[in-house]
Amino acid sequence: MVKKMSTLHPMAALRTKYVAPPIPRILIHRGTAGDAVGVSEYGDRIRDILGEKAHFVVDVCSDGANWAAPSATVAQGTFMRRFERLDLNGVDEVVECFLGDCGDAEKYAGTGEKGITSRMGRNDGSLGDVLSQGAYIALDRVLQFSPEEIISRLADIGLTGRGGAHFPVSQKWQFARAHADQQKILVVNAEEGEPGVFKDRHMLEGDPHRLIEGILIAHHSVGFEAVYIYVNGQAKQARLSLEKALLDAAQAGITGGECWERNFQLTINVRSGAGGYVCGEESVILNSIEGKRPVPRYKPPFATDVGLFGKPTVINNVETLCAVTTLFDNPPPQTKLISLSGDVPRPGLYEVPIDGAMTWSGMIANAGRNPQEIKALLVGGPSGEFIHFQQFDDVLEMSRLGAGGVVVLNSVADIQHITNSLASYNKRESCGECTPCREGSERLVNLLANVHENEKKIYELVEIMTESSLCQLGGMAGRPVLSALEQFKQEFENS
Amino acid sequence: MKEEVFDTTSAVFHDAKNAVSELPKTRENLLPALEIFQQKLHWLPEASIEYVAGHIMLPVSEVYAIATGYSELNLLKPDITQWHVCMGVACDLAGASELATFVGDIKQIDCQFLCALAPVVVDPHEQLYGRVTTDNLREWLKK
Repeated sequence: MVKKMSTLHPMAALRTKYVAPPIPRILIHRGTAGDAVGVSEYGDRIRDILGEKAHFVVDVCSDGANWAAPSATVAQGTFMRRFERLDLNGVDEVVECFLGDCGDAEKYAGTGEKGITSRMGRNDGSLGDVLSQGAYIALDRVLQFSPEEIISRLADIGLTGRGGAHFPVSQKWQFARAHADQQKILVVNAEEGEPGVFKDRHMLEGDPHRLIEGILIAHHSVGFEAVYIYVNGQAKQARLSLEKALLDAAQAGITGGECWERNFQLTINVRSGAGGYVCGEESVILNSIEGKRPVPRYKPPFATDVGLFGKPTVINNVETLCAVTTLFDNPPPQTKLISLSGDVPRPGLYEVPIDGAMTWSGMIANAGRNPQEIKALLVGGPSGEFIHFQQFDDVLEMSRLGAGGVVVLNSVADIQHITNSLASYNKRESCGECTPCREGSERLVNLLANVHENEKKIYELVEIMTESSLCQLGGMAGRPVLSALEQFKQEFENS
Repeated sequence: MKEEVFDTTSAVFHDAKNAVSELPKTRENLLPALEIFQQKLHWLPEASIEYVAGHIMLPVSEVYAIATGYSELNLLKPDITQWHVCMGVACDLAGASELATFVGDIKQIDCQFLCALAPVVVDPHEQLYGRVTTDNLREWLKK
């Protein structure tokens, strides 16, 4: 045990040193999404108008409401009002609201959800700002628990991985922890290479401290020698934001030093991926970090026994570790981040409760579309399935959501075209390491050119690929194809 | 894309070599080393592969074998004026293929993970643009 420098409680000491920024203020929602629709022009204009008060305007990440971009939020105490689809005429209204006249109170967006996204798009990235919004409270609380108590709590709640495979987090941690005499490693999967999914990027851009907190909770529970965060090579803003947060956390003594009762002394490394859907597969990440070709490993041995550099390794997704943090902050129900796109008026990132009540219909309606106008959903991209409109009243289950990518398809969407595109994508992205995927993915594309003549062969081929591919890229490549054939066969009539 | 003779006396190549020389000589640093060269040069000329191989102490052939496995590592000099249009499912539904055919000189690219702002295009500096129209694109390409 290291003797602490301060006599204050760790959280109080942190908050004294890193103070909250002044409020009210105007949040300009930049990040990858905001910048893609030129929001900084409006931010500059607002700063020009405010002149001496321009320092009350701060750049933040997207709050997930991509449909609203370019957008700005006026944050006044506990109230927030978001101004959506800004243009140069609209900036005056933002300034007026900030200076005192916010108009109709009904337009307030409220203080947001309390879950995993509660700080997303509402903080400027500084430690003072996130601390004032509850960061590291969960960690402080968790440090009072033993590792066994934490893992048991995760098991009781039934927290599963959010990367798509939904493996119980408690089991994974326990398997690694069982190797008491060996050094262990945590790998954070921030590769997020699945088309249609953009949640981890948003988390890293908008609230990287929630991930760091989750990493430290995992470290307290399992005990790691080192951590590697493997970030998608294209997610440049996400990496910058993460690296800044890691630096701030290190300087504050949060990840090492004398901030807490125990000194974590944890080295956290960031690595960039360099392309390819297969790079999101967990054993591929291990090879990639080790400086090898991006191909999957044979299993067993599993990573929790023999992982990175041969050491027991826990591989958790960004959202998973953020969910761990949130879990010790707030009680269940659990939530899932849904990357929603396609034919809805309000596409974006949603935090959806998996509470036994929310349905596909509810999710579509939340995004502003009448579910009766929708033909199907594509859930899980190239490894996913089509959800037919007749299933829209089904309650959402974590295990059916994959990584949470959902594309809403209206009545004119061409299911055959989408199916062929997904099959072609899987063919292009096959790493070539195993024959069923390398040869099968190409053969599948060819067979889809004439579904009626080849239907039996398609089913046979998909069975072979599912049973014998080395990883889930090949193993699940046939899933959207069979899902389309089983539910929308009439759309293939003319092939 | 075509193979080019690369100027190994350039300041930027020198900077990249210096940055790589700071990395520990372990295999774990192979991809970070390649990443440094790619960030500074936008591609990996033969001289960069040879330098990395020498630093990490691996055969040049093995470094090539690894580099070719990663789609974002450019072994040929990319066209620095090229625009791309995202062809992910959401962008496709939002008319990306019309953008691609309407404006001639634009290449198709896989999902850029900005699906809620479809259709999306990428400029030569890898900046993403969302909700793009043919009018937007025509104007930008003129510049």
